[in-house]
Amino acid sequence: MSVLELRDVVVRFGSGAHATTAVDHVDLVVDDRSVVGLVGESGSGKSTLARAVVGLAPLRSGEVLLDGQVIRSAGKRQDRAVRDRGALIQMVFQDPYSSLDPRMTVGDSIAEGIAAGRRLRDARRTVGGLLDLVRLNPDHEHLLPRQLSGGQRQRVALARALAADPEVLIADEITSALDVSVQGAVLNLLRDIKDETGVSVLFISHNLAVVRYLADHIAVMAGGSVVEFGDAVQVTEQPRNPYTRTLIAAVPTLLR
Amino acid sequence: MTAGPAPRGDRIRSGLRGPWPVFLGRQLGRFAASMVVLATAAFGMVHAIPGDPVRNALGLNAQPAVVAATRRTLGLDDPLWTQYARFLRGLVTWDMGDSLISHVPVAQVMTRLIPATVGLAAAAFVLAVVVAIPLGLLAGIATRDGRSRGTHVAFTSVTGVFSVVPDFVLGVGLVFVFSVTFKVLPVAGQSGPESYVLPVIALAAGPAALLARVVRVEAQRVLAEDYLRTARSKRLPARLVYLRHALPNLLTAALTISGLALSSLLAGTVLVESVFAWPGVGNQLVRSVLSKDFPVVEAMAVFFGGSVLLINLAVDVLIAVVDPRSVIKET
Amino acid sequence: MRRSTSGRAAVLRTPLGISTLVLLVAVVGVAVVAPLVLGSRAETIDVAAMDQGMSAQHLFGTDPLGRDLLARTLVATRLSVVLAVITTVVAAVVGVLAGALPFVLGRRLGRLLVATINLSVAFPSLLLALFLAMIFGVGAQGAVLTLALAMAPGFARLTHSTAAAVAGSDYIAAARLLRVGRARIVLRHILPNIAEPLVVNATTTVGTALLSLSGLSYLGFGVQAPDYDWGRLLSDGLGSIYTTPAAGLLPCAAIVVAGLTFILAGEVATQVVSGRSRRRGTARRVVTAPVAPVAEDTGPAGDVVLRVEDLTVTFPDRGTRPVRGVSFEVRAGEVVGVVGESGSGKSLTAAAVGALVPHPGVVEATRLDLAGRDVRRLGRAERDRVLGTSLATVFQDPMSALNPAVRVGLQLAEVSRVHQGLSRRAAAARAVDRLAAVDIPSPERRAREYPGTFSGGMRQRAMIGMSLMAEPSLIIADEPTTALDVTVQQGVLALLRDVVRQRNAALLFISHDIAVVSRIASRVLVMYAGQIIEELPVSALVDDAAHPYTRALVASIPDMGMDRRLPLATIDGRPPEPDRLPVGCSFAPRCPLADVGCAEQAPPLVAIGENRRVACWKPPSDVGGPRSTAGEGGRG
Ligand SMILES: Nc1ncnc2c1ncn2[C@@H]1O[C@H](COP(=O)(O)OP(=O)(O)OP(=O)(O)O)[C@@H](O)[C@H]1O
Ligand code: SF4
Ligand SMILES: [Mg+2]
Repeated sequence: MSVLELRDVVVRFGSGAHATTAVDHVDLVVDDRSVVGLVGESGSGKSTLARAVVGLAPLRSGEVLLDGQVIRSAGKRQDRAVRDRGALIQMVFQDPYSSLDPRMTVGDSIAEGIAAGRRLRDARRTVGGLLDLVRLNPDHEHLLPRQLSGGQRQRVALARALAADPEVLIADEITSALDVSVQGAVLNLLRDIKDETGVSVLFISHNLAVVRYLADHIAVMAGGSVVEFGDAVQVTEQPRNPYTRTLIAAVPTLLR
Repeated sequence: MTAGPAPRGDRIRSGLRGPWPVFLGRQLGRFAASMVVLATAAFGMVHAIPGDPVRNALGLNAQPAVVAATRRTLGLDDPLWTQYARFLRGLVTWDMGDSLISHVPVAQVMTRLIPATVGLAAAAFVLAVVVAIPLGLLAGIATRDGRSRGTHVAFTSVTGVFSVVPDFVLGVGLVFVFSVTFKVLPVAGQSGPESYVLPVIALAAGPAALLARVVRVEAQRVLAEDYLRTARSKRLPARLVYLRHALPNLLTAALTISGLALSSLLAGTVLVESVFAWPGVGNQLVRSVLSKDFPVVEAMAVFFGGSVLLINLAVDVLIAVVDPRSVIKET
Repeated sequence: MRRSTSGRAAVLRTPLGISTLVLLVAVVGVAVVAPLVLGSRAETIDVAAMDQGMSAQHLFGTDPLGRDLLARTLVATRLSVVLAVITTVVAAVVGVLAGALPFVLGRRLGRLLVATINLSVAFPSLLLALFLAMIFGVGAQGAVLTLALAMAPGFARLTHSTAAAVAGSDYIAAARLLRVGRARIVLRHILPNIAEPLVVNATTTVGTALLSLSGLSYLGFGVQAPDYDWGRLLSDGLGSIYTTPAAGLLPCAAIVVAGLTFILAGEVATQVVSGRSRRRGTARRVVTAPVAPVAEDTGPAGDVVLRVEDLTVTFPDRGTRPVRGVSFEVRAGEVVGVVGESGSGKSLTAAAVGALVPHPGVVEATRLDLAGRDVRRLGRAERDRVLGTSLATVFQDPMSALNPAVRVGLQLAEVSRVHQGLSRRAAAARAVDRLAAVDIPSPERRAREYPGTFSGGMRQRAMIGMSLMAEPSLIIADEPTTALDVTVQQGVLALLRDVVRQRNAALLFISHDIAVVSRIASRVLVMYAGQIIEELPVSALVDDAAHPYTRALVASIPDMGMDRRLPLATIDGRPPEPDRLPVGCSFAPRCPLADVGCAEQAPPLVAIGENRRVACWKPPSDVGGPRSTAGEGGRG
């Protein structure tokens, strides 16, 4: 059982008159083996929320819990064991061109994830097995990122995150830097992986149609707050918030 | 406009009156703080000299009584903080004691030397800027997106050589050609206007080459920007494209580098003044450091360091005048 | 672009690379050999040969003690170069440590250190060295130490700024999430990624150190007699510049040559590192198809605003042809969409129409008529006027397409000033009017502002307003909404739609997003690998597309109505690189219907109905008919 829970999370940058509140009192739950989709425009605070959950942005107040245990909270620094547990939440970034070390081979990058998995919970994964999991040719192990296409890089980033055997995976706009024809393959892959490994996913995108395809529940974010949360079908078919309706109208679908 | 939340622009605009005092205040504060750090460093330098500075300066054969007397007049036996306070007060009141060697008041030495050095550096700076900026801009236009490799190679090699040849070597070369071989210009010393020609060229060549190179690279960067493509798509005449759309976006970089060039010109005066026996601060600095005449050296450290800080301050303010966005960014 | 090791080695084969290498070998060779061979000649005092001029025995004469000047200059190479190298090493070690320290220290201390570094970088190193000489004394050792300390801030700043850039990147964030240790992050991720600029800087620094050390020795701070380096020789020789000029000029020459060598080496190293050398001669030859001669001007052809025939764009330097034989028409009041994946040649096609293809691209076409006139055959002034008034372009990124240093109003007004001869005041009024027409609130005030105060959506509106200044007959919009938020996109699309309707201008709308295109265009051109592979009305997109690529593209768009249980349709593989195009159909490697014939011969673009063309050997037979099975091109 692993539940990711955000309680009253606030993230604020700067101070005094120049302070901006990027995330404004957000509560959110990602249930075991479920996918929660987070939609909103750029600047609505989606990425900041994700970064706060994994500890890349400081919390101003509130807490992040994994299976009921507080792993991050405002102000105080957790002890080492708790911080290590934080590694059970992994993240895949938006831009596959900057999220892989240009001087490390695919195999070495993934191996860093494997080492983390072994330290934390004695997971034993292999580079070959992971490449297989993300449907990449095992020969790719010795290549450098610049020898891969955007879609392939994003698969490697996915493999590195999965190597740590996480309980929760945060996918932050992982297809928005890719061409449409490649996007589908990465989304299908993420869905298969979820089914195969049982990892819970917080899936972030500005495109409601993409989120709808993957998510069980959808949270709509605007101006730093969650303005609507509910079952995916319900949110997309009977939106209650006017902003959600705007987002639905904005989905780039083919006009018939 | 109807009521409602002000769009982003309004906030910045109405703030424009606001940021300036804050910006200037902060710049001046930073300058003052740096000056204090600088003076402290100059003071600390003398006290970091191993051994007794007076004995170092007067030599091993100096009579102990003379050394002791000198120490007393300089107040070197006082507690450190008293000396420090006196030093700072001296800087402000322009009374920095006497030279250990010539016994002339340091203030008098400085007052005599500074105009010669400033004149040299200013003339060289003007020459460098006037030559380098148009040259760099033209070269940038001629070589934009990989055009005209010939011009590119010629420009980079010529400026490359000039930026590498040290000013004192160039000075020696110029003396050899124009003073020794053709005997058209004076070898050394500060006399009439013609005595300025060689030292100014020797001093200006390196910084000018560097400045021209940077301006060319910057010009190329700006010419490749999207907004220049927009200007071209409007089919504006070349004059407008370059002067209205490209030049203003180059100024910030050009100013920054000009500031650096001016700083390095100041450093260059040390060597060039000694090649041309120029009666300036640089030439004297060498002699004073060699003879360990520390009251003079302290004053010169503050002069050179202060000039560099002043140049940086001026550049920051000028950039803010040219490009008000940097004021907003700063505050 | 892929960087190959051979590409890096190629730098060393350029004229610059070769001459630098030769110089480097020469300088190091002399440093090693000269003291062994010429040592005694350089140091034996020969009273009989004092202060001689040039002779067969002493090529460049002798010094006041009768020692051979050339020999002394050559022998001095070793000391000069060795001291410069030591200086650089010390400066680099001190600087890199100081630059890396802020990452280890606490926040406060780290900031203080960075501020100190930034302050000391402002001071010229030679000046610093002179003052430090008060503490460390004169002599070779003191000079090396003082200069190294004076140069260290430069290294420190470079280390700090490059490391800070690397430390902020996503891959470091990913490593931190995996709880990789601090030390390991520095060693495995940061250092390898900043090593290159540091090495380059160190190479250049050897050159500058050499020059500065000579300066210090010349002033009497460096090497002391009886040792000698070039600076020492120069200061000794300067006094006799009237009698034996070589005494001063030889060391000068040596200093310049050696300094230049190391600084050039730094430049070459930069190029090797960035792999930026132009590999001339390695460019592949382009198989040039014969291009038909320019057609006669036929005058305005009905309501056709833009007619392009057999357009190619070639980059001779790379030997690539990213646009290969594109033909299409745009009629007045019509919105034509162009879709295709990244790199398919959409933007270059648009650029070719506007004569904006970047140098050294070459545009060829049998026809390129704008508003009935072949723009390529007009004189320069006339062409500028036609392109400036009949055509307007709106670019992708409004954040960078407006000049940040010019007021928005002026950026609009200058079009009318230049092309329509309006007075300053009339042009300014028109600019305000156009800003109002694109729904920018308080246009008079906005016109006086700089683009920095506009939001992304407003800037794009301003760009569209700019495109309306001269009543163009064609507007090209290259991804005008891609950089905008989804909700803002809607507004910009609606505005473009209105503009076209109200002013009867034609619009060529380019986007990689077929869904966006379908919302505004009436006819769509699908591009793949530099060619149009299908042309069809928007109404046919969803279930009547003929080309397997178009069908797959349509099928791969997630929409709100799809069945969530099924996988999304995808297209395996990726488009061909422009320098490695397949012989036959360029889509063949990814096409589910491909057969041997497809791979051997490229299908021509043929008409299959009104406003419909397709380039495929196997278009479905029922296309254009009542209904066909949709979107089967994709494979799960
Ligand atoms: N200045 C240039 N020099 C050489 N090749 C170029 C140049 N500009 C573009 N290309 C090449 O031409 C091809 C087509 O580029 P183009 O910009 O037209 O593509 P696009 O369809 O607009 O793609 P995107 O969707 O990424 O904007 C690409 O392979 C690109 O690498
Ligand atoms: S020609 Fe052949 S390979 Fe090309 S698209 Fe048609 S069926 Fe596919
Ligand atoms: Mg494009």
